[in-house]
Amino acid sequence: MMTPEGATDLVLALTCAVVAYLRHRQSPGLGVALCSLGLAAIFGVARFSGAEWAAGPHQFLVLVTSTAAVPLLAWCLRWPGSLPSLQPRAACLAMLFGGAGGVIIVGLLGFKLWAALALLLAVALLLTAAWQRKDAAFAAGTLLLLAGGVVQSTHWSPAGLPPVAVLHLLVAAGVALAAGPRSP
Amino acid sequence: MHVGPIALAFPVFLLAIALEALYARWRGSRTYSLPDALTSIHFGYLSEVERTLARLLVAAIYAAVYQRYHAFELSAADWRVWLGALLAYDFCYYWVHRFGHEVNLVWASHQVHHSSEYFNLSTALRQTATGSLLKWPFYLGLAVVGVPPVVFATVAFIDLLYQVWVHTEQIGRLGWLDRVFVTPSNHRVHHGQNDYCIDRNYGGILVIWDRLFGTFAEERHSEPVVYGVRKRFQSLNPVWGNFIQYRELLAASRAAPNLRAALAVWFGPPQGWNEPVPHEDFTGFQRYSPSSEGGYRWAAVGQAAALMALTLYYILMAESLAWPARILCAGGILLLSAVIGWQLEGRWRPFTHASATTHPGSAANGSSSPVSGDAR
Repeated sequence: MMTPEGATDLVLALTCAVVAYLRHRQSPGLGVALCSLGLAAIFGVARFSGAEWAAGPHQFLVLVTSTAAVPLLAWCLRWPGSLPSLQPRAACLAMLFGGAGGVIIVGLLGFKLWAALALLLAVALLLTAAWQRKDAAFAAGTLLLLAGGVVQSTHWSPAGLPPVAVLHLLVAAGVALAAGPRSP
Repeated sequence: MHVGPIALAFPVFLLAIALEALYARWRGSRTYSLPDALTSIHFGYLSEVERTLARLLVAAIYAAVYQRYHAFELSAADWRVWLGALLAYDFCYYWVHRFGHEVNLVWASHQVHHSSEYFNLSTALRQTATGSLLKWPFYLGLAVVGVPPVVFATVAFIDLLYQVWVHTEQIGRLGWLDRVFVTPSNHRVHHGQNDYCIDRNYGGILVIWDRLFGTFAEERHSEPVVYGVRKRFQSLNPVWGNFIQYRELLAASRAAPNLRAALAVWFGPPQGWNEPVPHEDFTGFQRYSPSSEGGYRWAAVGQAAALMALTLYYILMAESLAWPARILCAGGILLLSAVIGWQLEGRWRPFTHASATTHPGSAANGSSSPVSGDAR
């Protein structure tokens, strides 16, 4: 049976799929980052629906997403004309080396601060991008992603929802607003 | 003493090379050059030395990821696991290999394998000594699915072993096999520097990956394959060969106007982003063949035998040696292979006045056509 975490992961996966589909021609790098985030969410759906085998891959992909995909997403939004944003190969390399570094530093050496630093970098990039763009939807999306980070670190949740489910919803809404086709 | 699979296979490789050389001579085909073949074998030694140093680290990463994140408990006793793992490994290998050609940083390591202008079984041994640390992330997916480390290590060895026999000019086209498996015919294309050969046929065992992802090319009888790299490696020094491209990348990134351009030097493709393959005319192309005096050449062959003994000792004993002894032994292999290379090139002549002191990489001692290359 699907738990609230599973249902919200499904929302996140669908959001990532739709936004990646709409934006991948304009920014392949954004597409790569969103596919990685969406893939992690798909394994999350399986995991939170009782498939125990999906727990390991989900954790692995969450680690890769937080240390590589989210910074790549922020990079592509901050610098839409950069190589990682426009060249699929450059985006895949960023994912590969960023993810490999994350797996070793956080997953194997246990240096969790690295993941926090990667997310902090992503937030900083998004905030500066929001400041430059003066776009209300983009700014709202950035704030929602920031709120997601706060929920993840404080485990706070409103309306009795599990914190992880709230995180999924905030990230889904944040991605839709910040990376959706409304922003240039 | 631990006898690894490479150590066991080594005498078989040498025998196969000798037999191919004899067969080629009998057929009258000039596919071998003694200095080139020796250099290829020495590249292989350095690669093995690096493996003994880096293998433990890479194996530890794979095992740790498997232990923490694996999805399924796949049994090593089930043949379907082996078959699936081999297929999955070969798929990952395609992408590792493709990145090896399309990303400067990885090409700097992989170009070693393509640096020979001959194509024979010894070319299969011409492997990089700087590659282990760049390839492992591609295979982590197998650990996450649940391919046990022992199965992974074995299918990796099978994939590597398969690729030995495809490095030959003595086997022609094989019909439908050329379109499904990696064969001598389609692998000759992979090692070519003709326009139609660049960045083609990356597969390890199956060439269907190339057909799926649009990188397949059939061998053309109308256009004989010219082997090697366009930025020619005109040296027989395997130590130099392993680092020359990194040196050039370092120089190019230092000369870059900004950080973005400097990063693009390391992570961009060798011929630029989405640039077409520049046309190159190979009419009158001559393979690199340095002229060393017969006496020095045979002295080098004698030293090569000593180097082989030292390398085999090292490969067999590496795990039981203390680290200082390992490093000393590895250093000895490095030094001796460089000295032999210099002697084969005729650059280093003890007991006589050295007549050639040009920098390795120049064509001063070799008879070769002045083919100016692009970034490859």
